[in-house]
Formats: sequence, C-alpha cells, structure tokens
Amino acid sequence: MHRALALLVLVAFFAGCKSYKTKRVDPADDDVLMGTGLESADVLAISNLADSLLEVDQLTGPHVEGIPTVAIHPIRNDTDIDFDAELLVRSIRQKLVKKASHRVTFVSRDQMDEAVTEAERAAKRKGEYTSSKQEVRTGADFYLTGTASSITKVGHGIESRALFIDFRLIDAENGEIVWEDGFKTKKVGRAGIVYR
Amino acid sequence: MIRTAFLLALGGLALVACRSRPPYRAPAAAFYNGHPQHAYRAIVADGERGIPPEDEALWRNELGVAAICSGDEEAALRSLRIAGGIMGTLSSTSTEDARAIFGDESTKTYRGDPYERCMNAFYTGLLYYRRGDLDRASASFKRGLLADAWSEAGEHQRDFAALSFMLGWVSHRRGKPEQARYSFKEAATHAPRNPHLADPRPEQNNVLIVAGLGVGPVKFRSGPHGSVARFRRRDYPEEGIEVLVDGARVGQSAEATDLYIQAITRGKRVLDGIRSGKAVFKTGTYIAGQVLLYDALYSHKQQTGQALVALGLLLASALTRAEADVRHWDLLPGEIHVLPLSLAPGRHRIEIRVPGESGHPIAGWNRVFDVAVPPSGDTLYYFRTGPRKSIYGLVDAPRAPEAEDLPKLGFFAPGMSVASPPKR
Repeated sequence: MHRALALLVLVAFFAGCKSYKTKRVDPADDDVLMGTGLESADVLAISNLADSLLEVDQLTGPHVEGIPTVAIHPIRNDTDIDFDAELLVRSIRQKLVKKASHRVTFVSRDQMDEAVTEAERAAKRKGEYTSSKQEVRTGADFYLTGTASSITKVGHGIESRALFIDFRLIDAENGEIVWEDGFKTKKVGRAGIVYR
Repeated sequence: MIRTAFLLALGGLALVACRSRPPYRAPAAAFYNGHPQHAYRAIVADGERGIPPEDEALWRNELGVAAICSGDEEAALRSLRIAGGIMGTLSSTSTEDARAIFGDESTKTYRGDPYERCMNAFYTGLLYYRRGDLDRASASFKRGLLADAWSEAGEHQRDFAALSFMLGWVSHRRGKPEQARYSFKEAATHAPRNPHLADPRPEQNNVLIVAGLGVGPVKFRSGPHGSVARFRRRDYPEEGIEVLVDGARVGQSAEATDLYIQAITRGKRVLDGIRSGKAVFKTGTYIAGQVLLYDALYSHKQQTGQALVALGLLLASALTRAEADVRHWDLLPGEIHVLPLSLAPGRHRIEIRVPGESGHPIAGWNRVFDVAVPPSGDTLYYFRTGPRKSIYGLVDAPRAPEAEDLPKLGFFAPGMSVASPPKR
C-alpha cells in the first residue's frame, strides 16, 4: 500500500516530463492549440459554400447560354487576424472547379485586375475575344468577391471573437448581386493562469 | 514509508519545476555596438544550436529585430509571424500552470508582456505594409491594439498610439476614411504632444517615416525572494530624428509611443499575487523548519519525527521558486516616432540626423540613404537608431509584382484551375 502510494506520488510529479507525440488528425477536427482565430475546420466549412453557389440559376440554370465565366477575386480581410486570405480563395475555388465540370469557367484575379477584368468584359462584348482564341484573356461574366470581418472582445483573461466571412456573386454586366452567402463562427477562449 | 514518498515527491517536484538551461538572452552587445549583422548571425547560430522550446517566441522576436536592422525583411517577417502565433496562443497546459505556480516561472512558454505583443504586431504590420499587403498590415495593427487592451484589472487600455496611428494610415490606404479618422483621433488622444498624429494628411503625404529610437526597458527582479518583476528605463540621448531631403530640412519626428511607459502601465497581474503567496510560503516554511529543527536537535527528548518534518519544511522552502520571470525582448527600441512627408516622385537623397536634449543634431550622428519615391501610391521607410551613433534603415520597399510580371492567361476549358499570380 505504501509502495503504491509512493509510486503514485512519483508518477504524478513526473507527469510533466511526458512529451507530446506528433500524430495525424483530421483537418476538420480541433486540436489542443485551438484559438479564437481561423482554424482548419473553418476553412473546410467555408469551402462548402461552393455547393450553394453552383445552384444559382444565372450560372447553371436551364436558360443559361454558353459557359459563363466567373472571376474569383481575393477575399478582403477586415478582421484582426493575420491569415492568408488566398487560402480561403483556393479552398472554395478547388471545390467550384471540381464540381463545375463543363458548366462554368473560373478564373483567378488579383484585386488590381478589377479594372482589367472590366476592360476584358467590354472587349468581349465587342467580339474581340471569343472562346476559340487560345492566347487571349477570358472576360468575366460574374465576379466572386468576399469579405472577412470580426468582432473581438478581450478582458479579464477572456478573449471572444466572432468571425464572419461573406461571399457575393456579382453580375459583371449590371452589378446585380445574384448570390450571397456566408460563414459565421464565434469562439471564446480563456488565457491559462500563467498568462494573466 | 510515507516520509520516504514525501521526500521523493519533493525531489520530483524539484526536477519538474527547474529549467535545464538558462533563459535565452540575445547577443545584445553586438547589436548595440553597431553590428546588427553580427548579432543577426549570432542569433541564427543560437537557433541552430537549439533554443529551449519555452524561449522560442523570445528568440524569434530578437531574430526579427536583428533581421530588420540587417535589411532581411522576409526573414524578419517569417520569424515575427511565428513568434506572434506563439504569443497569441491563449491556452496553457496543466503542466505549465503547475510549473509556474510551484516552480520556476521561466519554465513557462514565453509569451511576452502586453507591450512586447504590441511591438510584435507593430513590426509585423510594418513589414506587411512595406510589401504592399495592406489587409494583413491592418490585421496586424488591430491585433496589436487588442494585445494592448488585455488588462487583468478589467479597465480598457488601448493607449499604444503608434499602433492606432498605423491602423489609421493603412485604413486610409484601404479606402476606409472613417476608420482612419477614428484611429488618428485615438492616436492623438494618447500622444497629445505629437503634432503629426491628429491630422497626418495621408491624402497629401506620400512618404511615412517610422523610427525606433534608443533602447527598450529592461526587466529585473526585486522584492522578497525576487518575486516582483519591475522595469527600468535605459538611458539614450536621442530625442528624435531630423530628416533632410536633398540637403533641405523637411521635418523632425515626434514620439508616438514610449515603450517604458507601456511596460509599466499594466494592471496588477494574477501572477503577482501567486508570487507574493509563494514568497510568503517560502519564508514561512523556512522559519518554521528552522524552529522545529532547533527544537528537535537541542530538546532533551529524541524527536526524530519532528526533525524529519523540519527537514521537509526546509526542503519545501528551498524548492519553492518565487522569483519572477524576467525574460524580455532586449533588442526593442525605447520609443516609436513617426513623420509623414510629401516628396516628389523620383530619386532623392535622405539624410537622417539625430538631435539630442539640446535640440541640436548630435555631432557625428547622421547617415545618408538614396531612395526612389514611386510615381504613384505611397511608401514607408523605417529607421532605427541605437548606441554608438548607429542608424539602420529600411528604405526602398520590396517590389510588388508589376502587371507585366503576371503570367498571361490563356483560354481555359471548364473545370481547369488557373494559377494565381506569383507571390514575391
């Protein structure tokens, strides 16, 4: 009994020596370092918005003529989280391209190219660019844009962050918003005692 | 047997609670002797030899500053971003909590005081701004302001004027005039003697000079058993930087943030209370152990049990670590200054002089930089002064990709993905 108690005490105190082994986990799962910012599970959830986008009549409906082109613009980061917005663009774009299959064309655009894209669209209307010319740019029929925003509060060792990532599909011809959807999440974390 | 287990457990506590290596200290002497490249190489070499995991964020912050002053902006940004990630992690493990409460506090992961987290965000934001990534610059400045807002006493802090100013500046560039006006006003409120903060005219001024002056505060132990962490200001003669462009004086910087003031104006921390308790416990068990041992040894009765208890108390006192954690970011400047300017596009010769307390430039303390102000947009230059009359500068910004650098896009069949423009 006494030996067992001594052993228990020793194990308890040497527990701090235990090392953490690297292991593979599902990107959709949270981990021990989860914070209140953007997590891998959030990125995967955002990419699921692609399903909603592809149901838009103007893109995939029975009355659509030809194959519309969607220019995907970078997501604007208005949050207080330093994250690579390109990751979100890639995530949703991969799903769109995978599912679009002969129905919609997607092209990437840098933010600087909004004016360029509009100029291309104008040129396309004039008949200067057609789908048969391999060497020319593709004018866009729609723009896909996004904005990430956050509401963050801190105090008494607690951090609360609500994250909103909103997407819009805009008709390049008339500026009409033909689709809008978003991802929302809120996390609350408490700093460990040693960091307060 | 119980006594044996007790003594073994105390021994185990000692092993768990103690550091195996001393806390990381940057080679500040090389840096402040006017050799940032030497310091940079030495800090990199320290990393190759191995940094204790609990000091990684501190090491990366020091590396970031040395890299900035050596002109390696990409390495600086990488290092500071990783440090910022570590510093921003909220959770601590139960082991870390136990170590901090019962053992040496420097065994916990360094995450910096709020002013250090602010400076990590400030530098990160500056570097993002210089490479043209305004969104991430904005996010970094906001992160810094949040770090400044952490206050255990509950009151709202957010008085890091340099961060507020930079958020205003980048908000204007991002087409958010309302946010810009609010942030400039916030900055001016917390640094009312700075004439540049309230109305920096970002629509007219196309060059922003940001300067880090002098040396930052040093953290040291005081109080019973060194349980209280205090800051001391380090002296430096710089009062600002004077800027001449092509031989003509165009302005002098003004202080936006004093890092010593930021360091000392924090609410009472939870750990201060724990350390105070530990100091009392350490003293109490020592006294009690001595009294019991004296009585056991010199009493006319054989009191082996009492002697063992006394030894246990003395051991507990010896093993209790009440010392404050005094790890701090050694290579930080003492102040942050700003100066917005309007310069014609094209090549210019910028001379930086350093005025002292008299208001006149200190003899022999100047340096000339050749710059190219872009034809459109704006640019940000960062200068750092230090001992031995040193002046380091980040001038011409890393070039953003031009339109002709982007790959030509051909026609893509449906379902094909398109590569994004290459990142620089």
